[in-house]
Amino acid sequence: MDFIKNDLIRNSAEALIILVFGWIILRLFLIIIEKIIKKKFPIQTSILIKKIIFYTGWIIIIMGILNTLGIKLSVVLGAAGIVGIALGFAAQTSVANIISGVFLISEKSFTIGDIIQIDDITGVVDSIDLLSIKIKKFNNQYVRIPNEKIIKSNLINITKYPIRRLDLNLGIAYKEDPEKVKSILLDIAKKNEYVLDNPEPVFAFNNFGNSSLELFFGVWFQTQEYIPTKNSIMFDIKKRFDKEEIEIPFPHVTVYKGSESEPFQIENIGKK
Amino acid sequence: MKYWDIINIRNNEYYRWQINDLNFWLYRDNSEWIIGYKYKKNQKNELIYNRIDKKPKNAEWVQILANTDSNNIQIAPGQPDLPIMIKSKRYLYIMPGNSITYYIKIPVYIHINSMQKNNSLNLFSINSKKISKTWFGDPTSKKGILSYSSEAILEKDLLKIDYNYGMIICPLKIINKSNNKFNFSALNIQTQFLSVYEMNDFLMSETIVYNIKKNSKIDINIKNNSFNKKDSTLLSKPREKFNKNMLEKILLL
Repeated sequence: MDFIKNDLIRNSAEALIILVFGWIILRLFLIIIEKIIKKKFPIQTSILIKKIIFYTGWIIIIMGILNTLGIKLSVVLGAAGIVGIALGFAAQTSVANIISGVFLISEKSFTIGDIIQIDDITGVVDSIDLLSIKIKKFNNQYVRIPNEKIIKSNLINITKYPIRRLDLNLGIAYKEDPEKVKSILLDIAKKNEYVLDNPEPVFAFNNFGNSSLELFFGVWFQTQEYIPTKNSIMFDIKKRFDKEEIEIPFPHVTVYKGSESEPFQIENIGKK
Repeated sequence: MKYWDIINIRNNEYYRWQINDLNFWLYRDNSEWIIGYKYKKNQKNELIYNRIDKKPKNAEWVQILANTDSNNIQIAPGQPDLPIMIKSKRYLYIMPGNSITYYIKIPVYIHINSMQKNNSLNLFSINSKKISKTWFGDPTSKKGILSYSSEAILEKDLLKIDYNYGMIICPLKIINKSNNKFNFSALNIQTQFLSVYEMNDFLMSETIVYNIKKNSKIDINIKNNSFNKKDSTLLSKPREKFNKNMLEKILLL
């Protein structure tokens, strides 16, 4: 009995040593790897590589501990195989997310710190993980989006390029001169401190709408200056239109009553 | 007193400057420096410096903590913090075999420095004019450069320039050795490689030389020979060391 007891203590001590040293070696290895891959790969790829090394390292440590404690790995792996089949059915979504995550990382359509829009969610990418990405919305909400959903959705990377265009759809009353409005809008863009001179602003006479002449006006600005550009250009347009007495109509319907109709002629033919 | 000279300021008093469209005020309260600024169109084209009694209204204010022993400050003119894209107001063609030097004006960037015994401490820097910005390069690429944008009439006679003291004159020498006419529509001036010199009440930079070679490739250089260095005082050094490769790369964007 003492022999068994001593053996158990010795094995447990060995397992503890494997755990402690394995953990220290893994940590050191991760620090070295981080320094190497940081310069060579984008941030999301280096995070992924680190995670793969981390999980693989822990699997090796656990296998080492089990081996030291005398638990046969073949039995564990056999049991794991059966459990794995059962889990496989249950974990289909997770696997799909992992595969989607790998595709997302290899596509490089966005990176940590980019502002992206997926469906109605817009925010800054906080992390890209194997199962999901995390987004910080501008109202300080934290959103987790499964990778599979991102692969299936239309994703807009708002900060991909250093400059972008602010598209404005404007309506003016039918009585206004669209050519005069065009020159006013171009002048507003020229004087606005956030609007870039080049690429030049875009103007288009879009349509004869139900209640207004529909115009399109697009101005280029630095991507990070979206809010100041939008606010200042909107204020500038409103102030200038008011000054120039250019009417921005609200939707209206003209109802035509028509002419009064004569009453039907009724003749009482009575009884003959 | 010359405008860019070092001046001595007193504690708890307001000082006012006007350079181009920029009005700014400085107030010192021991280790605290309070700087106010406001842009207002300067019709008279003159530089103003005086001491005032009251705190000005409607200005933007910044508060800087800098514990310095010296009461000396210098308002130093520098090159703008971004490159500047100069568009010629008229189309300009330089025929093969011709060369010319044109002069353009660049508004000064103002540095407010606290002057100490052995060094100067930059307290605040600001543009002396609100200049619109432009993107030089492809909008769908990260390779472009954000620049200031300015329209200019290219003057070949330095004396004909409508000069005011808040502007830096930058000579552009264009030599066309190619067999094709050179079409000047816009040039991106890399101000980070240029200094500011004061010479006979003018602010000037080095000359930028555009040498269009026989194979139509453009060689760009920055040369000091536009004026005699003995007659000039260096007021501000270039922000970056001259990089010929970068200059040419920028031109080919």
